[in-house]
Amino acid sequence: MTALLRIEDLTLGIKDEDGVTPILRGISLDVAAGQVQGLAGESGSGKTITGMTVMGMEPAGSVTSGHIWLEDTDLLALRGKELNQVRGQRVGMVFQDPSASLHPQLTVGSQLTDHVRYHLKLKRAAATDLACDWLERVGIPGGRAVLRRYPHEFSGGQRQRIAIAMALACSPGVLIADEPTTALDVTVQAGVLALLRELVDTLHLAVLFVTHDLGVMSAIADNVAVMHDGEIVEAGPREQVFTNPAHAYTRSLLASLPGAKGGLLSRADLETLGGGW
Amino acid sequence: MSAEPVIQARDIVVEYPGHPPLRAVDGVSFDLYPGEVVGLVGESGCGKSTMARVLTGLLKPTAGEVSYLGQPLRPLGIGGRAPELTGIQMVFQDPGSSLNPRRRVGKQIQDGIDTAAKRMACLGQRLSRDDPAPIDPAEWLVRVGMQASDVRRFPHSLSGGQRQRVATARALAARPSVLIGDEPISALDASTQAKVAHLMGKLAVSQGACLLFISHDLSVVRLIADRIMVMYRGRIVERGPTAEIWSEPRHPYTKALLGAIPVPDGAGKLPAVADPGVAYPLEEADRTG
Ligand SMILES: Nc1ncnc2c1ncn2[C@@H]1O[C@H](COP(=O)(O)OP(=O)(O)OP(=O)(O)O)[C@@H](O)[C@H]1O
Ligand SMILES: Nc1ncnc2c1ncn2[C@@H]1O[C@H](COP(=O)(O)OP(=O)(O)O)[C@@H](O)[C@H]1O
Ligand SMILES: [Mg+2]
Ligand SMILES: [Mg+2]
Repeated sequence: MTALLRIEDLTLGIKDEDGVTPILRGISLDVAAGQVQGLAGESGSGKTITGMTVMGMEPAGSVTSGHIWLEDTDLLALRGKELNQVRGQRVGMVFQDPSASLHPQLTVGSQLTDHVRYHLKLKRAAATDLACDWLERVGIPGGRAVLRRYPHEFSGGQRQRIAIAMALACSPGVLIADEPTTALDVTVQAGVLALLRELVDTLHLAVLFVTHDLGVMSAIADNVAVMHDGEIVEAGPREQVFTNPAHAYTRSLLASLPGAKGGLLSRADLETLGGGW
Repeated sequence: MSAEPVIQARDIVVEYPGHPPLRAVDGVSFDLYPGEVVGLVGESGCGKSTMARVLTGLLKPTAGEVSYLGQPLRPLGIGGRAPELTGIQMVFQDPGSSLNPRRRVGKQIQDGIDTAAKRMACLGQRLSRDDPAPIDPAEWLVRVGMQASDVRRFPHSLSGGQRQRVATARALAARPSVLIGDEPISALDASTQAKVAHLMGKLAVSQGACLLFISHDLSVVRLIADRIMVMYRGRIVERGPTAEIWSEPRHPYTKALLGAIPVPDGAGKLPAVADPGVAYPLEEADRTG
């Protein structure tokens, strides 16, 4: 299978007065169309920065090297207008907090239609039709009337569905999803995960799915990469990483979790946990 | 259960003002006993934090009564907490907001120890070295898995998990008979959640206190709680020993909640999706027989 998104030896450092702090130390990942590439690892290991860099939204002062291939385009080499065209149109992004992608003072309809008019150069009527189709597709009932409502009039789960519609409305090939269900209740999360999986399968998206919840990872990812301190310490098919982890860090991560193989299954197992971090 | 309950909550109702008023807690009763770990679980907005505020005397219920060690709990007056109420301690979700950023960790744990000394003085007792709970902040830090030398550190230089350990140490240093944790692990890294939860339960129980552990994360609660109470729309809809609830949930809401938890087994199975429009019954499930 050929990769739609290919991250090749990506390094990133952040420059300040004291020099350059290394954040990503050579990340390589291939994501094929229709595949969910999970990215796990502890807080601060560089998961979000990896996704943001694919989106062309790395922090100010970043110094990068390597390549991020989207088919034949090296996203890392793009600047200005070219980058803007790719961002949002060929790569979509969903964040943990849907308010990061939705403006609180604009109706859902105006945000969705502005977005597709800008990128796809559609006329207003066509953009409105597309917006309606998308809301239906992500499971927001109510037809055209919904377009006139504001983000705060929706529940957290519905807002995340709307953010997914925003991210996918221009038919990007790649979706970056950074902890998209972390802020949701488990029952709501189950619905959003099912929706994402269905969209990946029908639209053949290549997805980079960041989460530190290995239960969620196990449910949705086809391949799993585990990051530690700016490096990928383990990568492979989901089942292999979960049931036969090669790296000690992955094993310790699984050992700290309720319900994982080799993880915490009873209260007695808790006693075996060390005091370390 | 043999001993007397430390907390008895009876028919608690809490309404927040509005048009119409919002009934956040709708007739909740339960007892908490010394030395047990009780999980209070349910989804966001079901009334867990409101219930916690009632138990600590921070919020006066619209109806119903809480008694603490057999006495009616008097809600917090202008003068602050009566010394006897310091026997109920809380640990919150965000340890950053409950610790003072400008005071050294050791000093803040000392505050907890002083609280215990004050309360005991009211009862004509004194703290003693022979008690199971340390009276030295450095010893507390070791007990929660940190270094004695960390007494000199400031909260900002600690990780989230370390801060939550300090908050736990400070709360337990006050020698509560009830420790209430309101989502105390939600802000922590997945790999430290179970550790911190376990530590809270173990330490509370070792000094004879009860831990009421409030969380929406059932997979961790399952490991540490002796009993679970499931809350839905302001009511307790099911309660019982953890293992029994887990293996045989009876209330349809409990079933949906348990079914939605994704298991980190690598099987690639999406959790069950419940009909989003469904309203579950508000009657508590009968678990007798
Ligand atoms: N805007 C920024 N400027 C400077 N450093 C940053 C910036 N954003 C993140 N970092 C640093 O980069 C590293 C990686 O951060 P990143 O946000 O990618 O972590 P993460 O793996 O997503 O963690 P989490 O699970 O907590 O979201 C961290 O050391 C962080 O402190
Ligand atoms: N101070 C408040 N004023 C008005 N409504 C509130 C207040 N605090 C909580 N609520 C409402 O009460 C209900 C229960 O909230 P809460 O106890 O915080 O739930 P939980 O902790 O289970 O998420 C929710 O509908 C919430 O919006
Ligand atoms: Mg992140
Ligand atoms: Mg709460």
